[in-house]
Amino acid sequence: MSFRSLNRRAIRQIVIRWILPFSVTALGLIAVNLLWLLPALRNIRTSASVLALEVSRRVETTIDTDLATTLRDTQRAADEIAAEPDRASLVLNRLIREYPNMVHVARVSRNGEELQEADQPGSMDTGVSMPGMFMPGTSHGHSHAAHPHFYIALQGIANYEEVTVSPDRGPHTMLAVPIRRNDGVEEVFIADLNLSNLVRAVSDVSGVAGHIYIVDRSGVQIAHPDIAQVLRQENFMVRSIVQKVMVDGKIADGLSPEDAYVNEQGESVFAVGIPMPIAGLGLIFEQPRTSALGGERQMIIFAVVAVFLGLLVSVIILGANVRLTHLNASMRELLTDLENAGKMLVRRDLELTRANARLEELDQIKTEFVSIAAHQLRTPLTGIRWSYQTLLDGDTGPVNPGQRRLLESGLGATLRMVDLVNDLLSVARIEEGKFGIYLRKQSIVPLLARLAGRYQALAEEKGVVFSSALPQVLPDVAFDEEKMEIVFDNILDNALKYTEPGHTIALKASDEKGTVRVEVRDTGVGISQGQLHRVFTKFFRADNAVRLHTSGTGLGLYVVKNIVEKHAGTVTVESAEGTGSVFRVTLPMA
Amino acid sequence: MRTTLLSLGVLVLAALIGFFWWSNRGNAPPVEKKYYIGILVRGSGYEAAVEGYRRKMKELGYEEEKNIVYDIRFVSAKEDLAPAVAGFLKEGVNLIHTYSTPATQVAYRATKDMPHPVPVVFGSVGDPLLAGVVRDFGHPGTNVTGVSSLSTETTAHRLELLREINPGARRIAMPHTAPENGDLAADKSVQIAKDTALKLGIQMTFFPVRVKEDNNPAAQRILRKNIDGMIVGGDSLVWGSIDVYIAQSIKERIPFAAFDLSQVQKGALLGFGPDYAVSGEQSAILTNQILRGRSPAEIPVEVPHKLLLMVNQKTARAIGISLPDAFLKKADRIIDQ
Repeated sequence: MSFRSLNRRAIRQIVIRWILPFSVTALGLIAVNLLWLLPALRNIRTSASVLALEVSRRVETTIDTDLATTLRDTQRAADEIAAEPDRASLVLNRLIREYPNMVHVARVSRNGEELQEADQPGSMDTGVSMPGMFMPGTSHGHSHAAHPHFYIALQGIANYEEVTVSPDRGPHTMLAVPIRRNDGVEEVFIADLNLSNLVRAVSDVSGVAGHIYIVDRSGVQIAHPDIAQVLRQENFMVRSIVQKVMVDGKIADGLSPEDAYVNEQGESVFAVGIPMPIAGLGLIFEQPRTSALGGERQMIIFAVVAVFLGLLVSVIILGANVRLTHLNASMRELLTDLENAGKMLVRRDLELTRANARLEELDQIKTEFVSIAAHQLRTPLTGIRWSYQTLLDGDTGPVNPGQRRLLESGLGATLRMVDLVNDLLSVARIEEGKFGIYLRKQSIVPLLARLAGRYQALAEEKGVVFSSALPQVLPDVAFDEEKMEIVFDNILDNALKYTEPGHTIALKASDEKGTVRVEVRDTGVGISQGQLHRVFTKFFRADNAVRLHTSGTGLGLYVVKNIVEKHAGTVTVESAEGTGSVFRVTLPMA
Repeated sequence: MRTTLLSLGVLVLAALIGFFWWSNRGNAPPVEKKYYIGILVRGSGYEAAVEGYRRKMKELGYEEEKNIVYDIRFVSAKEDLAPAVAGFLKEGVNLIHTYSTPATQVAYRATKDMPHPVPVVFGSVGDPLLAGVVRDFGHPGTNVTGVSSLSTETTAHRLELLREINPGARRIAMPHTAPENGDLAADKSVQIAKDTALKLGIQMTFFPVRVKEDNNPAAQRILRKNIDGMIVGGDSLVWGSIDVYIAQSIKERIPFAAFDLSQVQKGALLGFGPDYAVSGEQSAILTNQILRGRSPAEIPVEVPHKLLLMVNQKTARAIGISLPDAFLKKADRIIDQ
């Protein structure tokens, strides 16, 4: 396989395991988030639009009502003058009193000259109405012949002039209404109005961020909460929303992208607009986008975070998936190895079973051989022993001391041979399972007393101090007397064998907690701690024991343990090299 | 498995693209349309207005031959107005722009009963209410809107101006369209002149004309020995031959109070009326509103932003009149060449 094909396969694996699932997940997440995000954004914009239009309409209604009321009342005044020309002066002054924002009112003839006028108190130095006097910025005594709105009024149409702005008066306008008589319109009622109400209305936007401004037909700003902004006379016709309101005469609800713009402060704004036909004006309500559509940013951030977290989770899942895939492959390999190992183990087990069977067979043969050999040896040994004993007893004639020594030596060797054969036979029977135990409920004291008598004598011969503490009565124990005698005989024989003259052996029996305990304590050579655990194993002989006595089978304690355990009892040993040993046999009460 | 995933990916992608297309379909820019405008002019002196109109239209984004085409027709005879309008309608114009009351009336009559009336924007009508082309200044209610020239109502002021520069003036001449022609603006101008003259103690001498050719003989009859001054009203037939009246006024050294800037520039001593170039620009703004979809029925009729008092000092010198300083101070334009 070439490097290039390997590389292609690796790339394909990456695409399948990572890029494709990640892309699909990303697209899915984006799609799902867009499904809720776009309607949510639309709702936010709609809510902002509704709120802004409500505020705008409130202001527009205030202004519209104000202008309409002014026009209506002025027209009424003009009608009163038409009906009663003599009361014209009273009507003019009354209107001035009712409308503090009317700087100047006048009754104007067809040629544009003021016939009568009235001024707002304080608006002139004298406070006296005097035709012909002129106040800068107002129409005092001025001919109205050059004003187009005057001619429209002459045509019978009440109308507001274009709003103008001056530093001393702010936004102001002229209102011209016809004074209609039966012969037509020969006079016009002119009112010079300060539009302070306009500024007040646009300033009275509380509770929401942003501000309202008003533009005239040309798009020039004529009202703003900050009069300094108005005095700049900026033309905002370049703004699409202003065109929509002033050119198209449409309400701009702020939902169209072209309604938004960046204002003179460089701030991105959300804006709505309403045309105000009564004076050819347009009202625009602009709010900082961050304030009006504050929820929009939060929603977008939320959606981005959701997509990001989703992608993060997908990466984690993909990573885990890839790791699981790797793990799965490893597990498969491991399972294959285990299967092979299992097969091998089965083979080994079969081999071991066969070997074991072979060993058991060999052991059986060995045991049988030992049994047969020991059995076959016992008869001649018994004969030899009997011959030696007969010779020593003098039944065949007197023996001299030299002969006696030889005979006694031969008898001793024969007796050791008998012991060895007996031990071998016992072991062979134990291992063959033919070591019969015949339990009989009885007291162990007689057996122990008999053995104590025997070993008392043997100890005295050796110069070892032997003591026994046997109670008169002990609870009965179910035991095979012949086998149990082998047990204690072995223990006492070992004690005597490995205890030097002058030292002590103590035999003690007692009953404790439902058991009968027999203890043999000596102050002999003891057993080292390192070998203590092997005391009851076959053919074990402690190192110091071997040094003291070359003879010994190492089978006695093995036989002891097997016999005791077959009586449901226990045998333990405590020993320290050089200080002696304690063997305890515990048998359950019958 | 791979095929399934790929298909799923393609589906999601297609769904996303579809979703974005659907949500943004409303924001697609409109295909740029080409508009055809028929401009009908009756009378002279409207050249500045038409020029102002085209200039403003260009400022508003209407490039000639690119997205707008003008068919401009100058007509003198009243009888030629209807065929001109018919020609526009045959061409399928999107809007008719008119100058003069008769031109506007003809355009209105030709379009008002159409299933989808072609909008009409007038650049100069003395009294659109009187002309019957709109029902109200604020809400025209018809397919017509535009800029009123106020030429009829300002007739009175022209008389007053003559009296102001020559308090001794008693005999004032006024050429006008004959009543039988049915030019309502001209008739009203005459009436206003009569009423004002009565108040001012002025004797009016009227020179009615029925056709364009009548203007020259009418002008020849206006002589210094009988006349102290001359005015015109809102009268497109007279305006169409204004040159002969101006020439006569200079020849006879008669102060002539005319209407608009172009007439003063041609030699009339005084003028009181709009700057037609500005009126043309105002008409362009109204045209733009209509082309953007607004109904003319709801677009208020406009008036000139300002009425100008114009003086021709050269003519004043030529006819031997020295205008008072106070009068000159009131003048918005003084022409001296």
